Amino acid sequence: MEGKKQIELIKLSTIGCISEEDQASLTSLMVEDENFPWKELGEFQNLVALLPSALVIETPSWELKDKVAKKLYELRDEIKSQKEEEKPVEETAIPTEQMVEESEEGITFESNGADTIESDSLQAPPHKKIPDEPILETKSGVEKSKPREPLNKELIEKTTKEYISTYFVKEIGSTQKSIKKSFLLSLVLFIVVLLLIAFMYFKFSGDLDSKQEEIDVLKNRLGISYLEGNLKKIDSV
Amino acid sequence: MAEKSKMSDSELMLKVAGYDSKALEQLYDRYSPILYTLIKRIVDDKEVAKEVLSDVFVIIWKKIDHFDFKTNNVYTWLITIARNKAIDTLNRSLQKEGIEDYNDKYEEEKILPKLSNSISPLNLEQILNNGEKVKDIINSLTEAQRYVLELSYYEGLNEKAIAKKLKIPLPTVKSKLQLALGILQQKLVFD
Repeated sequence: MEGKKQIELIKLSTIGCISEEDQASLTSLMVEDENFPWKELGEFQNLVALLPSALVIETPSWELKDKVAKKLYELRDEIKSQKEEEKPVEETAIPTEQMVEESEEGITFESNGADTIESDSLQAPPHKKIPDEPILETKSGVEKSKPREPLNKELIEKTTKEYISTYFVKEIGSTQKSIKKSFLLSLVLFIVVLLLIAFMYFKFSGDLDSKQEEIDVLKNRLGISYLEGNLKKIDSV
Repeated sequence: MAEKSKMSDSELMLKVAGYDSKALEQLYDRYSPILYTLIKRIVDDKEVAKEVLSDVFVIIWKKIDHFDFKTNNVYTWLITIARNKAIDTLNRSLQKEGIEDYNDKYEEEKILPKLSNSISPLNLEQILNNGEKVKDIINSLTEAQRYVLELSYYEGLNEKAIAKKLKIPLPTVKSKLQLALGILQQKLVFD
């Protein structure tokens, strides 16, 4: 009987159509009843979320994506500074939640405090002053007594590793590129120097040859004139 | 790019938790059609729907640390945020009485979903493939059951407002809703 009542309340709560009194009794059941049907609550939450799948799906215009991106970009710095401001308070207040923060170099994971939202929502009586308020699906009572479990460590590690690997791959890639560039540059320089040396060698060797030839010619002339002189001397004698 | 598209919802959410804007972009590409369709059905205005959808992604970006990575139900989390935000926008546009100021606390209490810690994750692709089936099951409900369900989910009316609108007793509203959800559960969960 108690179980049936709980299911009925769960149905009304998940569809967002529950009175203030019924929500209060459901919340107290969640807190007090050790055998509260959490699985059924999850099933109905999923079930209600399936309703939009029956609609004819429309894709929003592409301009909207740009608009969203612009909004998020504007918020980026705000969130960053907000997180930085919150950080010391959270560290002292609640010490188990894993928080993900982005540093200038990339993502860093820090430990600081359990999520209090679920606890608050369970401790506080339901707020049903608004006649047509949105769905309020209440989180497990189990989570009230113990702090929310930290983020899945494996997944966090995996993502961090992925991030680090992509970061280093990028770094290595850029380093390799610069090495290639400098190697090409030095190769070009080397070839230029070689060409210069070759050019100078051929130029100077050509010059030397021509000078040598000139010297030879001069020597020959000198030799001939010397011989002629001697012959003239002999003739005169 | 192909590798990126294979990334699961939960992997994307983890990257979003690290403020990876590319991951959020992928999440947008994946979920914006169904979220936009739902929001537009609620607010019944293209421009308002666009505004609400962009607000939903801002909420996701800002409040990602409220997502439960243990249960990893991205679909229901996003759908519920979109539904709650759209209903809230609708209520504000209709200037309903007793609406609180919109601030961080309000957003965390009334817009962010509080899902069961025993909820199983859902797959968006499968859901979209089964859309016709869900439609058929909804159509198999009686007109009254369907109407009550729609007034509640898409118009955000509570049981008293529905009873007043349809001029039927309050217990009848409750029983119709419970019956409708019971039928949906039987046909969808157990089929």
